[in-house]
Amino acid sequence: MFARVKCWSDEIMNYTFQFGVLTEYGPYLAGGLWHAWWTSFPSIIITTILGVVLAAMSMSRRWFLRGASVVFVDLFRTLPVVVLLIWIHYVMPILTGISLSPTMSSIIALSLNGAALACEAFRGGLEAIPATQTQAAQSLGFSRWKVMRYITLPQAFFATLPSLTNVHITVIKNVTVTVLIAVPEVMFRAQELTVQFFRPLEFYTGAAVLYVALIWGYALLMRMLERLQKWQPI
Amino acid sequence: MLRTIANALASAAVAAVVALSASGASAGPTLDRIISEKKLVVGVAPWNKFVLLNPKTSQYEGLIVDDIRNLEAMTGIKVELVNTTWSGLVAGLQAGKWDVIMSGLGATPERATAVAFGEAFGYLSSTAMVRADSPVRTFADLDKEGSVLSVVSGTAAQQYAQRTFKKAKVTPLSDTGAAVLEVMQGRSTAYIGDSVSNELRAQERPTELRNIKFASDQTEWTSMNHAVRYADLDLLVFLDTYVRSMKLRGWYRNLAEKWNLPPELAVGPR
Repeated sequence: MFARVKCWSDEIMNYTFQFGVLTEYGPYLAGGLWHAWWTSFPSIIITTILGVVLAAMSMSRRWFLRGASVVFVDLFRTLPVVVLLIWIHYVMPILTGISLSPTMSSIIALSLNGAALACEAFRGGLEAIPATQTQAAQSLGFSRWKVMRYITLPQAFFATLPSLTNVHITVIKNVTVTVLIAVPEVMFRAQELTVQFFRPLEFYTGAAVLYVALIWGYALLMRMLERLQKWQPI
Repeated sequence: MLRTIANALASAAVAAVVALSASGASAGPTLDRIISEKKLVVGVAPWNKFVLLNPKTSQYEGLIVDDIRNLEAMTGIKVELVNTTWSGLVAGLQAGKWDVIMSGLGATPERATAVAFGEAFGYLSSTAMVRADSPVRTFADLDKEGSVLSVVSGTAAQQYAQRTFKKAKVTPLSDTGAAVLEVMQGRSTAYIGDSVSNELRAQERPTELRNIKFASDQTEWTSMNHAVRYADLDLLVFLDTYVRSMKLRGWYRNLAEKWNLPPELAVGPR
């Protein structure tokens, strides 16, 4: 495939695309999806659980729980994932002697960042539940925990699902940043192949297609989960 | 009598110094562990013809890999390769994730403030990569007002370009792919990089790119070295002994030939 591309500088660029390299090395590139999934999937689970806990803490009567939640969210929402990765993977071993694998470091960094975002999504969902429901449940003798377990959380979870899906997609997309600490996911493999065959546009396009497929598949799965909704907010 | 006592004391002192220095010649903790466990952990970053994970065989290949396998065979120390990125090499060494960097890292005084470099086992010069249809032919053609040179940020080539090209504008980019694409898209006049990689790129894409070599007094040479933490200088002594021996045996010249690399890679500037 031969393309003549007009550049902003008004110069004609002759670029010979050779997507044939993807037929030969596509399987190797696609192999990176396995690592991408096993980095993002645990991160998504931890993100969700930690997000719920932080959201519950943010609505607690105890000031120190609310404070801890606010500090966590403000800190990990503002810290760039790249900085977190560098700190966890390279600085922590120097300070503590604990050295983690690139995948483990990535899971921790992505989970901390994702949990801060998920907390805000859940908090929005929890605050959307009218206070009258809580009052009604308490008047029937429900404890605060039972109100949260049976009344508030189930409704809030499904109400939050669309924005939670966005958070999860952000987590998956952030996996590409882990190329920095050499997690052998799709982007890292694209970089390796680029060094070898000098075809960055072809290999990065291939990587983009694979990530789109992964994220699109995940979004589809979440939409199916949304359809399982048993509780409609009243 | 006094002289006899003084001589005896002096002899005793010399004997004590010799004995102490002999007992003090034990290796540091890292080298001790490497020798006792027979395992050396090495950080490497992808570099065509030097260190690459072959996607078809899942085996590492290249000049440096052959050298590492030879070190393994000669010393009986098993080498575990850890594949990382160029930006992560030094950080991983400092964090203790590997014992040594064996990726042909160029030794510069600036970098030597962070890591200890060993004896050079290879040499590279800087060259310019231009579009195949570019009118640029010489060093003088590049060093002009309006000329834009792309380099990879943090490399020896960036330092060389900023020191040498007085009139051209030097643009640092994050990686080689991006820097070469700047040239192909006409945003940069040339990409300044190492002679070996640029030659390979030009051979790979002859209709799109051309490699320009500079005269010996215009180019700048960089060496390829192993690097360790300053706390592990004894490990460097061990590795340097190997490198020196192999240089004397013509090993690196043979490797350059095997991997179809220029002979000056093994001998450096003349």
